[in-house]
Amino acid sequence: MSQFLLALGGIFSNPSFYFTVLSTTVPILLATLGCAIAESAGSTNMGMEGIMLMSAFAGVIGSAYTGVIWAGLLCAFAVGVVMGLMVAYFALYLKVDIILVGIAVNLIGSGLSAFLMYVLTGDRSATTSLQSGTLPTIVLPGVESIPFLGAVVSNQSVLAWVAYLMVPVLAFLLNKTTLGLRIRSVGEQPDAAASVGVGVNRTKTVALLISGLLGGLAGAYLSMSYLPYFTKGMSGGRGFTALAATAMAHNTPVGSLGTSLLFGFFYALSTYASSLGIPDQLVAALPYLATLVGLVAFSIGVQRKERARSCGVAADSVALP
Amino acid sequence: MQEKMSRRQFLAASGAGFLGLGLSACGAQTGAEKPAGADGDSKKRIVYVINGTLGDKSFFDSGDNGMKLISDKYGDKFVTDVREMTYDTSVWESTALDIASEGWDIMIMGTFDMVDYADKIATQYPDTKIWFFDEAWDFSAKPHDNVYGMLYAQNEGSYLVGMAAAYASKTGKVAFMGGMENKVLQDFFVGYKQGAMAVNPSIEVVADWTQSFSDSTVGHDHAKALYQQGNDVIFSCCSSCGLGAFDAAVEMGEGHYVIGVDGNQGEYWSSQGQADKAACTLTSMLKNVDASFLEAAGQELEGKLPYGKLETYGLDKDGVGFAVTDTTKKVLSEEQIAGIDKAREEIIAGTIKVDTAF
Repeated sequence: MSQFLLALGGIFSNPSFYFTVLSTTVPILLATLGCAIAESAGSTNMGMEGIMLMSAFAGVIGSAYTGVIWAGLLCAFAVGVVMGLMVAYFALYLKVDIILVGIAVNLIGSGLSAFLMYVLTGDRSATTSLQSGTLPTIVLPGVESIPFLGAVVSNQSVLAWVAYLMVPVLAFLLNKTTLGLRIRSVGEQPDAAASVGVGVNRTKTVALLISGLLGGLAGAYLSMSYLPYFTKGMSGGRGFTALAATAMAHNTPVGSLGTSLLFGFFYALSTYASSLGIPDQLVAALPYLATLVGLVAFSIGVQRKERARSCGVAADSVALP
Repeated sequence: MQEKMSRRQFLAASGAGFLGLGLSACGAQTGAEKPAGADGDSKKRIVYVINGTLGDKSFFDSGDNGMKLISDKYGDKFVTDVREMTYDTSVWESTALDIASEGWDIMIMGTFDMVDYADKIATQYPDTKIWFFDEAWDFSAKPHDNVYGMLYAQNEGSYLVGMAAAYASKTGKVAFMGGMENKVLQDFFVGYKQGAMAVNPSIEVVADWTQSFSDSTVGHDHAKALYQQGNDVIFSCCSSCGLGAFDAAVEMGEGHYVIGVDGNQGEYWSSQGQADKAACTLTSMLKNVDASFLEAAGQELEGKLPYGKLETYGLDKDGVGFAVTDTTKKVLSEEQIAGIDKAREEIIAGTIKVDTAF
């Protein structure tokens, strides 16, 4: 037991563990932010998994065929946006249930990416025959020499910085801009928003477009930063994890950061702890156990708050007359 | 909010759904043509059923190569086909039974996960023969005289790469990364550990189980964690998931090595022009699935294949082996490689007894 605790201490005092936490959080965070903004506008983007897969694939193909890594990133962007708009078109203008559209997008994502990979490259499980390269990492000159902190934050991918910067950007967008106000009003009371002249479908479309863009970034991170190639099904359920993280975060960007970090932490822990002799099935289940515990804790919190509020209201109404 | 769906909306929805389903089916199945029957009266029809997808650059691809070898060498005697069932475990049973119902003479399938389904097929289709590879078929519990069990002595091959790992390690810590803790993979680990300890009795050998055979990002993260915990050689044994280990080694830089598995992965990376990955591939534990298929096909033609029995393809039959690439020669000295060769002879001669998980 003491040896086990020693090993666990070894993990927690290792700066590279925290580096892994930050880097594994990135795709989850981007996907969670994407789901959160769509959810704020009242549309559940179930198709995040498919969007990530398709854009991860597009990124690799784009950069391998043009030889320019940034062209690949642009391709990933474009595919993400197009798929976000596709969800919007089917769900909002053709009035298909948005959950069904999401499922269709996921099926398209997993099937089409594998199919095109075979057609274009002849590879069946990973595009290892292409030279597609990775996005640059950012070395922070001053910070790098700081012990511990330097090893954690320096050398992260440029997309990791984009992802973490997206948190304040989206928080600002949602809370301080007209568009953000519209998105939230459309999500909370579409009829009320429509009555004051807000274009409900148009606003929702914009939200899904941003959601697709973030999904595209998440996909690009997977295939152009995390690994330098695309592998079949490489999103690995992160799109679904993002939906859970969004629900736990109550659709707020800052909350999304917290819940994504939670998942990233347990994911990193599961990779580090699996050589410690803990039953591997248990270790692999850690992120999901964390979700369950998180959701329970979250809903207990909400219930308490509601109870407190209803008590307060009752007290007020007694005191007032 | 939910109004009745109009005809147009319904069509749009089902259109989107079908498009998705159709595409995913495209990705999942290839080569689904019916077995050739007309000219096959005298030819035996063999199908290789893969519970995964081709392209892992190792295990399944080696079997696919075996099918090619069979049709090259015995093209006038056999008709061959390959079916991929993808990594979706929920479709394996039904797909395998579907394929069996097409009436093949011989079905080749393998791995621990497929035992129960092969057992079912062997019972339902007594005329179909099954070559079951890479798992110790338990003939006392499932006595079928139409099943031929092929096992690879991965412990023997792993012993040799374990020695290589111990020779190459500077930190005195080496790791094993397996997809799932089953008997075959434990057999790998047992041999690997014994081989490493034979070279350096105080070496630390850790086992890490990734719980995935398909997700390369998981393999990458596990491998990176292992390197950062001080292991400098990783024996990566988890199919496509294990590909990620090579990226982790490249990221970690000089002095971090991966040992490939099943196919000669160092040679593969060189052939793809990926010199950085080839340079960190110390060696590969070869599991010559292809050679074993060809061998079995030859015996089948002579009518000598011992159905109802389990045979082991070890170092003696070239069922497993140790790959020497440029990297191997660069990292290990000539005496060290000679030492590994000597151990190989001694295992075949029986003077070294390699432990097994079976």
